[in-house]
Amino acid sequence: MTLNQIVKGQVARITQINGEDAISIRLMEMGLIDGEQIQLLGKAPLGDPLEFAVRGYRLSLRLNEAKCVEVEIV
Amino acid sequence: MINTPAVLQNTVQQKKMTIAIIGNPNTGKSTLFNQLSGGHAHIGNFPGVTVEKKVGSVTWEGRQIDLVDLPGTYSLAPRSIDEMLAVDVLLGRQKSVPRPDAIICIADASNLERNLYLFSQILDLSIPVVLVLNMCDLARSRGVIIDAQALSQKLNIPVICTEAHHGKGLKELKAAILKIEAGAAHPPLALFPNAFYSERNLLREKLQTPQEQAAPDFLVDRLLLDVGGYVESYFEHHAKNGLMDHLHEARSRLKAAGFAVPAMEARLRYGWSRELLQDVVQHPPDHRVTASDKIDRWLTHRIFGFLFFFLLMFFVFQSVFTWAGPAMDLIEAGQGLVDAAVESVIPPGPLRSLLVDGVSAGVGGVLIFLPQIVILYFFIAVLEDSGYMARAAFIMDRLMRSLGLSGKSFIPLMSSFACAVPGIMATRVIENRHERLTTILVAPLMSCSARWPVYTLFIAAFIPNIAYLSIANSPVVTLQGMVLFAMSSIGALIAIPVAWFLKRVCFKGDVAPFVMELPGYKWPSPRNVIFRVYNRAKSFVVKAGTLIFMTSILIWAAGYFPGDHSEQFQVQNRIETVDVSLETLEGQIAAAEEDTAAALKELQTQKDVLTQEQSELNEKQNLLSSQLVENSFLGKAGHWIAPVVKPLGWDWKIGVGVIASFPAREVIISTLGTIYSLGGDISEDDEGLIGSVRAATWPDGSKVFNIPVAISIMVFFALCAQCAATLMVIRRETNSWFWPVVSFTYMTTLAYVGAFISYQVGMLFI
Repeated sequence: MTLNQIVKGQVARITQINGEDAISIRLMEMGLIDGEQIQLLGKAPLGDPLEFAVRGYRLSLRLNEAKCVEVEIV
Repeated sequence: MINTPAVLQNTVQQKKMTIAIIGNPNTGKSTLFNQLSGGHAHIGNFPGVTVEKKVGSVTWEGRQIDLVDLPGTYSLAPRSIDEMLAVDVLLGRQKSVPRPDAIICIADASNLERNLYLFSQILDLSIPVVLVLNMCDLARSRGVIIDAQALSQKLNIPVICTEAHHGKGLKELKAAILKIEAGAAHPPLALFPNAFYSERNLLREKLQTPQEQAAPDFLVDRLLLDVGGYVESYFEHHAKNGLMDHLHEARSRLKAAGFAVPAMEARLRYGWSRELLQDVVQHPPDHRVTASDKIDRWLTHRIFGFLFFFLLMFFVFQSVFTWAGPAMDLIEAGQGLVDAAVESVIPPGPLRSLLVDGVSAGVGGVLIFLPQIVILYFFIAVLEDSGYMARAAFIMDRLMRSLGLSGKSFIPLMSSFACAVPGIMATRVIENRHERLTTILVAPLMSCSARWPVYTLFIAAFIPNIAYLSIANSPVVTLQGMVLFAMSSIGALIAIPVAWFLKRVCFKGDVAPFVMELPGYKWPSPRNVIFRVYNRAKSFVVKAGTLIFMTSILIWAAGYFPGDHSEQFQVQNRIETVDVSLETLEGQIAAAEEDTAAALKELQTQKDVLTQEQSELNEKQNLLSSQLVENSFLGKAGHWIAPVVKPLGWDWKIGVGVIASFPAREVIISTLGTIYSLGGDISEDDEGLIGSVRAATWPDGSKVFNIPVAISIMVFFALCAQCAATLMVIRRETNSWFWPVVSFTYMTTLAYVGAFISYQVGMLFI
């Protein structure tokens, strides 16, 4: 499954970042690397973008950006 | 005196040091820069990019140091020419700045693991580095405890804990910088496998030409690592054939060896960072809900989040209107006092006209923007410093994306409804170049407060006052109100297709990621807020102000020359003498005793004669002014464009008004006042002006103005770029004349087409 599919409060483990474009490079630079845990904290009022906790900080991702991140539920 | 030679020798030996300051966004980098430079920074632009160049010159213990502030970034892997700037400065390839002798890398102490990613890239540059852990107090309060000494020993690099917003740790930082010896760089971090470095060496050989210096290792690394990055596209255009093939082969060989780029870099650097911090930093347990998280659940809540956001925006907007108004009135009053002082000293003549109508009006035209800039920037600084700015972008992103923009464009565009000048200045929060340019280009379409006088005049003069809905005898929905609303929203509506066109056609293929940190909430630092407001205001007055001022002088000259003003000056002289005599007379009348009726009557007669002369003189003066304007370069230009504006239903007088209002839209009111022989000091709700406009006729006797003409003028002013300040701020913010020319051209075209359609369609119904 991908990161946009997890529900609020759920913790997932990143298995892979898909793609080699600017967005996936930026995701990796921000510390989204396979093996890392990530939690969905909340959503913007219109349901997009999403707020995550990763590596001890809070990160905002749009739905289509979260789609590039393959995860498994912990 | 005895030790002077020694001091001299000392300064000669130690050359000026250049120190670059770099760090992630939201690390307090600008606060640190302001503190270190004492707030005295030279602000300019780097050539060829839209990045602001901030250099602070300081002297520490007799040592001259230039501090260069680089834009906040998460990584040194450039994707655009603007991001390339930091790399160029650090490598000494940016000609306007010498290669830095040292780097201050600032990191957010509560979030070290991610901040050290950028730091690990900086270590590969082989330049001496000082690592600053900023906001140590905040980190401690969040349960992050760092052993800075142990970290420094592990890295073999000075590590300084600071609390930049109240100046803590700066002394230690200065001492650490002064201790850096020239050329004392540590070796590169070199985290990558040998296979990578041998590929890099092969690639460098391919790059090298006999004439050119070898590309620095760091740049070749970036070429190999950044798939689709700026370095790759740069070499694609500048290097010889075959390089790209070689690059792709090198990358596939690395992939086959299990080191696929770009994933390898992130994995190795984050691995290094985590291992480094393992026994140096103590964290609170993962997935702990912080106070900031709790606030976030409310402030990004589906209902309360929106409600709070809109209430806040309303408050900000209302404050700009409420507080800027009196300050702007004060500036105008001050300008009036200066004008009066000049008029009392200098007799009527070209010099007085230059000083009052050119210089004073020009300076006033710059200062009048300051209240709005200061108030708006105060709010923006508070919102940014508290961490809410990122949430505002987060909340608005979905809506703004339907326009092809992102949440970060919302506040600049909203600000533009008050005034495009601070709005365009606020686009600095948008890192992506194309998104920022799109926002800058559509911002002047938002209906700013300078358009209101134009709307007010023409609505009052031509739109019938019909009420469609009244509650308790007070009209709620009126035709005039509806027209005003339509005029105020037409720009924003047109901005939607314009933004769409710019993003989809002109800046195609550039998707700005919204991958950004949401920093923890904190109390804004008053000192930081003041610094930022001050810097913005200063930068506007110094950089854009000069150009706005010069435009005003030019337009003044065009309206003044080449006419013969001698008669006008004679009349003006006589008016002033009459004014003085009248004042004396009035004094005498007031002082005269009731019983000397004869004397009083005599005085009264004198007064009546003078009053009669005064009104005749004023009329003559106004007539002369209007003739002079007609014969000036401006008037000639008005006649010259008359055939062009004819299809809009305008005569040459409106043409002159439009040209004269280039420095600022509202100038059309006073220009129309002059042209209709009413004098220049006239306001939009002046009955005389409304009457003259209604009465104006074509040479054949038919009326110039009717409802379609009024609408056509209003539509033109809603869409045109008749605002020198906006254009000069665009020039300042984009660091090029190209973008203001683009803005002016496209907006004038839109305005012309809009006015043409409104007039021609309107005439069908008459």
